[in-house]
Amino acid sequence: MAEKAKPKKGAPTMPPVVYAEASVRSVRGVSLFETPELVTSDTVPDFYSESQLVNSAVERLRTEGFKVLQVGQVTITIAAPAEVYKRVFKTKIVAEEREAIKKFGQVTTATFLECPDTAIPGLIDPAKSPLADVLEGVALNEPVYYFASAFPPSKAYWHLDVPSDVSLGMNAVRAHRARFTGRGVKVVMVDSGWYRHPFFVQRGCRATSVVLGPAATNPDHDEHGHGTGESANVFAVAPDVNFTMVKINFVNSVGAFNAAVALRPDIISCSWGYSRRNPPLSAADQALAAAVANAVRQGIIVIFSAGNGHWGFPGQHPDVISAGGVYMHPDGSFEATPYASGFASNIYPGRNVPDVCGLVGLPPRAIYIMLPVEPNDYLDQNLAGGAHPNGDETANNDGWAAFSGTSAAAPQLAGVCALMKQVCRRLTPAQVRDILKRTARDVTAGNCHPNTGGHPAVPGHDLATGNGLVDAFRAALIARFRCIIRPPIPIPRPPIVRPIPPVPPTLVEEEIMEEEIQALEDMILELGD
Amino acid sequence: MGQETSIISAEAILKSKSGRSLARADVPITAENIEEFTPEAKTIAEATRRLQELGFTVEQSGVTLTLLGKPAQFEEVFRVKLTLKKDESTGGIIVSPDGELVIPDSLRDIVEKVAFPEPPEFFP
Repeated sequence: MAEKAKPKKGAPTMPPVVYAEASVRSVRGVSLFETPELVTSDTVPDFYSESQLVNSAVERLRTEGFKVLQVGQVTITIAAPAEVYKRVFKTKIVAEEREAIKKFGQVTTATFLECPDTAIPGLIDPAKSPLADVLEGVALNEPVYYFASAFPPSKAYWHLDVPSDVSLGMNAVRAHRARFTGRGVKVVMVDSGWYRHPFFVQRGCRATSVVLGPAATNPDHDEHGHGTGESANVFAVAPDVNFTMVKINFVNSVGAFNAAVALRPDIISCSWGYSRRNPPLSAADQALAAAVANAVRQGIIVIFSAGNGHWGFPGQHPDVISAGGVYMHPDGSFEATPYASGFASNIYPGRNVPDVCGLVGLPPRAIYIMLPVEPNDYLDQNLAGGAHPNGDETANNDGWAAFSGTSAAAPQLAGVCALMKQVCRRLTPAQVRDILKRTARDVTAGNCHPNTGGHPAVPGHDLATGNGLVDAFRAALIARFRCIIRPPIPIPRPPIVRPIPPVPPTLVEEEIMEEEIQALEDMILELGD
Repeated sequence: MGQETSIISAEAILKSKSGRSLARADVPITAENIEEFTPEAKTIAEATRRLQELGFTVEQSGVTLTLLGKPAQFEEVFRVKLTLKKDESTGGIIVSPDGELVIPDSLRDIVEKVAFPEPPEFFP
């Protein structure tokens, strides 16, 4: 029999709802809570209950005011305010602060509920209640803490891990060896939040505290998981960036985006948007378009996802880098994924989406990149279990989930932009986009999402992948080259020694022509191949 | 999803320094022309002050102002009836007014329009 732990000092409060497991009288007549046996897979059938008795217990628990959440073979999960338990079971329930080990091994206290009338921790004896003939005991639930590992779970289906596989697929490994790692570059994501997962902590990723967008709360948590997971794509490509998350509130995207602009970053990455096929844009959309334009005007590189069958907006805005999707096969070959959007904008004539692509999975759910999330959050639960490609085959509380979409492409591109900005600070957003397009790897197989036309990937530029899959190393190399050769270097002419009156020295400002630069860059790229 | 459901948010589009309307722009708003649609700093400051006097929280300013307040507050100030619906996919709140928001006299010289952005959709 377990000993009751000593309560710690503090001011514990009773939660508004108390959860418990009610055990219906067992078929063998021995209570689950009083058995001297260990409860194992061999002995657990002894603690099953007659179905008639279970049905009766469920009905009577409901009559007494309990919510029945789940009916299992051994116990029934119930919930009700503490007063209901006290009234029905004629007992007391008290809240106690006890020592507990939470995330990252942090020793602290947590609130436990206790019934002082029994010797077994957390057990309520129903003997004095009107349910005594059907229940043998009620166990109060204890606080649960989930622990995430820095290592992704191993799965047999073809998928990418971060940082290794994404880094390789984006050709960022060679960039890292050349010391292009994004050091000193400030990247902001506007998303669902950011959880300080061991994946980031143990790799020493640099992330500031989460900034709350308008009306957002809980800066230490990412209840959805999308922001935390997709941010790992930034670090896979640019491990040394200074990262900040602006937590969006699902109420006002414009305000959250402006909060990111106010941080004056080098790069803003957004893996969200709206589907807008035709004009006119609403006033709220115009406000968002203005916020994007204003950011780019300030020299901030703005990246938006093109959408997953959406007519992505602001992914089609003329000033953004529009991120589409390319799928990488196990043999390293590429094709356009029919999960990602590709279209000619009806709102901005002449604007084709995407500009370039990152790595994105295939339909039905693009379960492709194993990403860290807050344990037990929405995505951890929602993608859990099943069999690939319909589920990610991970546990629903392990802090890992496999997903991608053009949501993954945008932060991958943000990482590449960070490498470029590290080596050439003065590149403008338009120059960065041009270099990304010039250095991308052409993709000539596959089609984009059928919702946006299912356009085929063909040699050269196309609507399926734009200019193709971004090449981090080539893009960073050209960016570096730009900063070496681009400045028009004034050459001081030495004074001419002649028997004539001296003239002041003049500067020769012969700027290298754009065509000459591009020809030189082409030579470099060819050498790299 | 990390939000206060009792608080909703809108964007206030202010009168621009050039007189061109952002809400009714007939050209794409881009980095090239955004300056024409940007309000003057004194307009932003004055609009912020007056909106705060009306009880709103003005949390962020870019080209537009972000307003936060209770639904009843928006209904009273902008003479409109709002319907709030939870977006099941995101948990965000979709705010639907029953008509155009009426800019009160006290704001009409500096505020052009007030609009409620929809909850965005993630693209995973």
